[in-house]
Amino acid sequence: MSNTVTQLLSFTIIFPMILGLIRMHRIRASYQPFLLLLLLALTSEVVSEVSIRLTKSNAITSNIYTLLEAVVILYLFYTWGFLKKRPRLMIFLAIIYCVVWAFENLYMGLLADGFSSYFVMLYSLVTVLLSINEINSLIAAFGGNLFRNAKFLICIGLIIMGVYSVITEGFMLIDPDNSRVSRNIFNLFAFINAFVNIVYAIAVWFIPVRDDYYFSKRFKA
Amino acid sequence: MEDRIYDITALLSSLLAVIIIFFIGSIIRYHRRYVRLQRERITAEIKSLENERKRIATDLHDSLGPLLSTVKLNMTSIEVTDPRDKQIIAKSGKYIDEIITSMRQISYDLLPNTLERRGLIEAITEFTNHIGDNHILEVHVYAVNAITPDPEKDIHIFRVIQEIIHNTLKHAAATKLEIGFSQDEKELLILVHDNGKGFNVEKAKQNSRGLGLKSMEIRMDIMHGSVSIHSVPGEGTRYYLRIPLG
Repeated sequence: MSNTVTQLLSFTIIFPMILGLIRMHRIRASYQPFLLLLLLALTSEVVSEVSIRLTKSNAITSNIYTLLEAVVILYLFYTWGFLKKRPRLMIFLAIIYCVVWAFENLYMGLLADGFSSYFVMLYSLVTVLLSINEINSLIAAFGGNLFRNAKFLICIGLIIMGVYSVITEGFMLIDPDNSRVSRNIFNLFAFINAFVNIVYAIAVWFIPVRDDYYFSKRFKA
Repeated sequence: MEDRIYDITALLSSLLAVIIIFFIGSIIRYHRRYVRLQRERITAEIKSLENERKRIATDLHDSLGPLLSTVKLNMTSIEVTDPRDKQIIAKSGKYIDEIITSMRQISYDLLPNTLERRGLIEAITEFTNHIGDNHILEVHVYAVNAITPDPEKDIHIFRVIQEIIHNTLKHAAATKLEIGFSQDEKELLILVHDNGKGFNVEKAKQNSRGLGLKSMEIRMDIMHGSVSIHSVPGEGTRYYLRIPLG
């Protein structure tokens, strides 16, 4: 698969981002971190693209992005309530993230010359577990169609990306020389990324409107 | 060889994905069936409770009330000459009046007649006048447009509003309470706003020992609706209630 196709697929993040910008002022505050996550992803794609053209490497961008993404995802689960009720767990996870990231990138010196696979595996696993927990709580509390629920769709997207990240990073560790198997897995990742971006776009469409906005329209308050 | 490893890995991963998806789908399906059954059970319990309340209220209002009035009428028609007897009859008449008043209050508390006869808005307005705390809390009930009566849901909505008014009186230290209704073809919206001291909603839900907030949520759940409470200490409380129609 050509690089152009991979690049085009990775830029599908623009669809949920545009929808997010359109709906930004109407959606509930607890979903704002998700829009920040989309903005971060888009910025990272653009910066990576520029970086590759200028320096032939996007390692720094990618490594910094993974840390920011991990923190924003934690904050997303905080605003959704699970980590708000467990502040100690939130602090513990944030500290663990920072320590592992700093160890891999600064101590082992991978920031400019490699990719922090262990950190990606760690935060992907935590994200998958938090998402599964959120889906379980939704199943019990939400009576409507789950496929029209923004939280469910976002969690499904996070699970798919998390699981696939663990697989790809695992292959990176087993086979760092980029064999055919690893390359195929990376190629498939581009399609999965595009699919998840479409799921995110649908999720943004279904993000509930803020109560005060919704009611003020009907009550003309 | 590498191609073969890749193909087998892809095939096994796909099979695993299918199994996991089926497993999760199955869990969701059965869990939702369980939740639906639970909801049906709670709905049946609350319905039978409301029916019982209605029956007692009707009996008190329609059978005992007229009977006591007849007793009083008969008593006052007795002609006595002894002033002591006259005093006893007058006193008894007063007691019967008190019993009738108390009985009407009990009957009203169980189920206000107005709800069935004149609809939700009138019933809530009457309830706010009935609580007799107008000098403490000024309540304004209004409807943006016409509200279609639905006896099945109106009783639940009435109880939820009753609970909000009680909470406002007990905890909010508010002087004004606005209760607004708006209906379109899809849903009924109710906006309740007070100017009280506000409270921490999360904390109240966690620490609450009473059944108020829980009963409110259960009744909203029965109607497939939702209640959302926004409160900022010092800035009052807003209750956003959404009830789908049909």
